Amino acid sequence: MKQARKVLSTYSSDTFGVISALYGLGGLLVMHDASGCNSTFTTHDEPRWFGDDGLVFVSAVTEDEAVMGTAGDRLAADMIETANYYHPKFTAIASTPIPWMTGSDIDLTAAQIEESTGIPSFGFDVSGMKSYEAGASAALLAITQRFCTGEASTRKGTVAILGATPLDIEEEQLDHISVLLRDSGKEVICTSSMNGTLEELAEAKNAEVALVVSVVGIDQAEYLYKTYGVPYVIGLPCGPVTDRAVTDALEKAIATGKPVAVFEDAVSDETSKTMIIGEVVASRSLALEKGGARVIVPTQDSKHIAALLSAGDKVIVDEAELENELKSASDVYADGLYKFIIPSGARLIKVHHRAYSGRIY
Amino acid sequence: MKKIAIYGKGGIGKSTTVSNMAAALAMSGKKVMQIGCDPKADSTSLLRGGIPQGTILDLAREKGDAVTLEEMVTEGFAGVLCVEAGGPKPGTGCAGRGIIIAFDKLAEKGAYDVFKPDVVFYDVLGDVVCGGFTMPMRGGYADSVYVITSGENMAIHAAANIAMAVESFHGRGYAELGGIILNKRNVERENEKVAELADDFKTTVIGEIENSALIAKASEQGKTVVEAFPDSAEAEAYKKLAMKILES
Repeated sequence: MKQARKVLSTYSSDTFGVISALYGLGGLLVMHDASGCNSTFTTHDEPRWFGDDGLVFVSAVTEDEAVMGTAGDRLAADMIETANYYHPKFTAIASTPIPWMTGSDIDLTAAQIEESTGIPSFGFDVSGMKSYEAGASAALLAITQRFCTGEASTRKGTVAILGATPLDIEEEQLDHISVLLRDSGKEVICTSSMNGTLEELAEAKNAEVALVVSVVGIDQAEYLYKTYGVPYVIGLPCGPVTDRAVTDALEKAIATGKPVAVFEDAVSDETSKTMIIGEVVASRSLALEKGGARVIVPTQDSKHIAALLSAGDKVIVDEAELENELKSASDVYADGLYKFIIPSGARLIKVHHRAYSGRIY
Repeated sequence: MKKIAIYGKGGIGKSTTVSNMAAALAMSGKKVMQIGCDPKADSTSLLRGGIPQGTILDLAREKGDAVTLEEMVTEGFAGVLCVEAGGPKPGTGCAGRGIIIAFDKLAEKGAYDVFKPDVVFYDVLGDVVCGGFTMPMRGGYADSVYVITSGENMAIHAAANIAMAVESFHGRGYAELGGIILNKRNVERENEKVAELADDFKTTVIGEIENSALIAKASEQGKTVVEAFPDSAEAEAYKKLAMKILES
């Protein structure tokens, strides 16, 4: 049966993608939902919740409000009151299935809040039914367009890291990237948006080059490229091969002024029995590191995925199709939750992906 | 680009009026797009000789992302760009959500940028019954809302509801109420009653269409009166109304 899932889980939703991308930037973040979103997000998808203060709330929309169409005005009033108390740097509302289905005008609610408080406010009309990629991409682009403005003054030797959210990137990976860049003589002036600030994000336009570490950062990278001419490299350093490839690509991008993907010339071996399941940038980078593995991307909510794949790679969201594809695998790099679909005789090499298994592993 | 939403009670003559205005403007050289926002999907029928058109929702369901603008937008009389949002089967689904999906699909495919129409008419069903049916009047869509009514009490009641919805969104970046169109049914005190409605909402009756057998005769032929009887007084009335809306 198409689309039926017996053993596999789902990826974090677009609603969570929005909140994850904006978390830690000093905003008041609200998931416009009846209940449950907040606790699921904070306990499973957001490692920073346990160590940092975060203004993350759920609107607690009621059946009565949904039917009568009054949720938007009430939410605006609540957020205005809360914003006037906490004075956040911005506010953002991420929609969920109920307000999305009933046609709530999230942009209007955000505009009401901004008009009343003067605080920049964003509305994200996400459905809660797509993957985190859609929400995180939209949020990173919107926040960059709003706060990274004005004239740019390029600073030589600087790098902006884009597309970094805990849903895709581990702290240890970020540390590895930072050390790599420092050792190659680069200064990181912005990490959007893990461990970064709005002030640092505003500096991204001055970077000599950007490093896009996941697919959700490509839209914001394109904005910086088209608006300020910041060239970008797509790739995730994850070992000696990709470390070298990324540092070389950064120099190439600076020299040519053009975007480049570290794996753009690498062709996956269609007959390879080594498969990698996961986010496209991380997986293709890992395939380059391992030398010729095939990539399977299990999400389809970024328009950039197809262009980042090579022949032999596939987008597969259907469980039965994935099960069939994996029959010929000997080694599979994937999140631990995929263990239920790995054929006997094949080896699973776990690569934690928080957007998939949260904090189970 | 002027974007105009037309609302009014079901059966009051919205699609006939919009199609005639679209035809009149197209004949005067304007590029006009007419978007039917009703699950019945018959808004543009008179511009297409009575031939039904595939709806955005049906096409999207059938073809997914592969659906093209050329499939969603067809040319009718005098080159009017015809679009039908469509909707669920009667008694099922969510028509309001359907309108939103259809509008999103049009935007995603860049319909306004590709066709660059001078005028866009949104022909919206009966009443503003839920969030989806406010979509045409939201920021980024129509600039003005016009409400069609006759002097019949039910039509006036529906028109008042619509005007109230527009009023409730005043100052929020939504379309403003442009005026009332009187589509006459020859009931007692018709002009007075509709003028009172306009007064209540601090607007004006921007135009009147007389009850005419010729309009019905053209409809029987699957045509607008502008197409079937271009020299008639009725065709002239639609032309005047369209120009007045365009210039206001």
